[in-house]
Amino acid sequence: MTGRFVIETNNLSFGYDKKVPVFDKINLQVETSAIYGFMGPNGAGKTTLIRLLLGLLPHQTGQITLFGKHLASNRIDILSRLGCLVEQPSLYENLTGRDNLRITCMVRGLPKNRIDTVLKMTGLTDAADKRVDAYSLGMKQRLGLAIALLPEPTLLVLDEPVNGLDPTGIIEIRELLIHLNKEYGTTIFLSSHLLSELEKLVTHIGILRKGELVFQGSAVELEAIQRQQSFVAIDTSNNQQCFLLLKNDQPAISIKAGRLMVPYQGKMELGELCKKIVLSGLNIYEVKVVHHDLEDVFMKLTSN
Amino acid sequence: MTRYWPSFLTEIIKIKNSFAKWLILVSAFLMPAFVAFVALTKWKQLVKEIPDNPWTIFSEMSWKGMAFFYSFFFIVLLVCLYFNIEYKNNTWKHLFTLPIRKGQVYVNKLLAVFLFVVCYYILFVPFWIILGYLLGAIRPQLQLITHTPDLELLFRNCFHSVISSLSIIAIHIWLSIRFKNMIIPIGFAVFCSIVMVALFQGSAVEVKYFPYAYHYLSISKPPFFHESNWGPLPEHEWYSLGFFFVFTMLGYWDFTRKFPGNQ
Repeated sequence: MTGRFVIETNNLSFGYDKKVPVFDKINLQVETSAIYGFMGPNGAGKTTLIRLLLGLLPHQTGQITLFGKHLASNRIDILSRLGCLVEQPSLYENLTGRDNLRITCMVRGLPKNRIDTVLKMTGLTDAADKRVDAYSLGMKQRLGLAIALLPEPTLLVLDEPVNGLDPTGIIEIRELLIHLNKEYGTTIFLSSHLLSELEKLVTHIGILRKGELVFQGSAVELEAIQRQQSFVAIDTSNNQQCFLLLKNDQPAISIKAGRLMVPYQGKMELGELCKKIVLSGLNIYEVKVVHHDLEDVFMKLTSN
Repeated sequence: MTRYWPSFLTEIIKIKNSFAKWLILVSAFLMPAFVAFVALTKWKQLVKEIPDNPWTIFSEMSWKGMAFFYSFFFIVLLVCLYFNIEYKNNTWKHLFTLPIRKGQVYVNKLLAVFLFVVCYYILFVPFWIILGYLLGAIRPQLQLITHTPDLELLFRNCFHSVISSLSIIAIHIWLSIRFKNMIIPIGFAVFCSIVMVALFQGSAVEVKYFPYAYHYLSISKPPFFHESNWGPLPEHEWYSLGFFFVFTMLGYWDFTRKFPGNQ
């Protein structure tokens, strides 16, 4: 019944103040078994969109569909199939980690043995009987994740899941999420400001800028964009002369910081380019291919 | 329905290690302890006033003390502290992303507060009896050891106090839904206590329409105040049930339709 998309929004618009929309006509599509990374600068509306997807905010126009069902009319059924972590984990600090898990377990009607399973998965077994107010930020984050994993969800919605974790913790959580996705086909929708982390994890990416989805697609499609935006930095014995030589074939050529900047089109094309320069009698001192990483693409897509 | 009781039980777990739990325990103990202390210091005067059963005077001192400000402020603080557990820990959003209806969350909260108030009175009974006998052992002249407490009166007072509590429970649950800042409901209760004193001072019979006076009216009738019993309950306790119904509905409406949690 899920179909191709686990999460789908259709012309979704929302604003805390009706005159100032946070976003307008968003069409989000999260494929089944994908790890969908949701990015955007601060204030772009990431958390607001996540809150809308979970029914924490009343949406104003458009439709939200999860597992092929409308959220508005199937809230309980949908929530029983997903686990989530929104912003800072919601934890009863006066209780132990185990008690926090017990509360969710009881409300969801889950067997008690799930508590030990998720504690083991998140590496919290030893700290389970400590009060949460004695937990570090990273431990709280792990416990929040453990609560999200309790119902063996088919969809995990995580807002900044590695926030506050040390490098080892980040790697462990990344491996856990990849394991859940590969072994159980869990669809994971996560937002993070750690772009390098998202790059290692996601199969699909959505980029939100000022309430507008400026990119949505697979990681492969994003790589193609990255490739398109790579360039070659060349230093020759006479850059000005070289600039005039190449200008007709390379209209996008420019000189920046004493180097010629030419869009990168591939190895063969680069070879031909170098040959042309040498045959014109100029010496080449340096050729450097500069690839755009996700951060550069993100900055380009989210900047004005 | 199969998940109803487990979800209700989670509300009991939530007060573990919290101020709310200690408030129930300490409040149930404090008034009989305070009265016992007063009786211990003024025992000579009390010995002269002892009626047939000395427990009557101990009971009257305790219940009047409980009924005037003590019990309704206990309820106000309890509701504030209990709801503050969700506000302080930012857990409303977690509750609202669980597969449970908002209406059920509200009913769970209401029943939990009711249960806590009943626990307060249930705990008061043994504390009161133990402290009474302890007082009798220290001051045999008070004759508390040689007599037995009127348990029927004790439980009748508990029953009527719980009925009187219902109006304040519903009003303050509604206020705690409306206002995240717990100072506002507490401030409102302080204002209402001043109004209550003014009504009693002015011998205003309208006091029967004022929920914050119901605890006192259930225990002791001021000289200016006359009311009839409608069935098993006096008039003001029916009003308490009426306030309870109206504010419970209002709270349910606000909670299920408008309540945004911590946003």
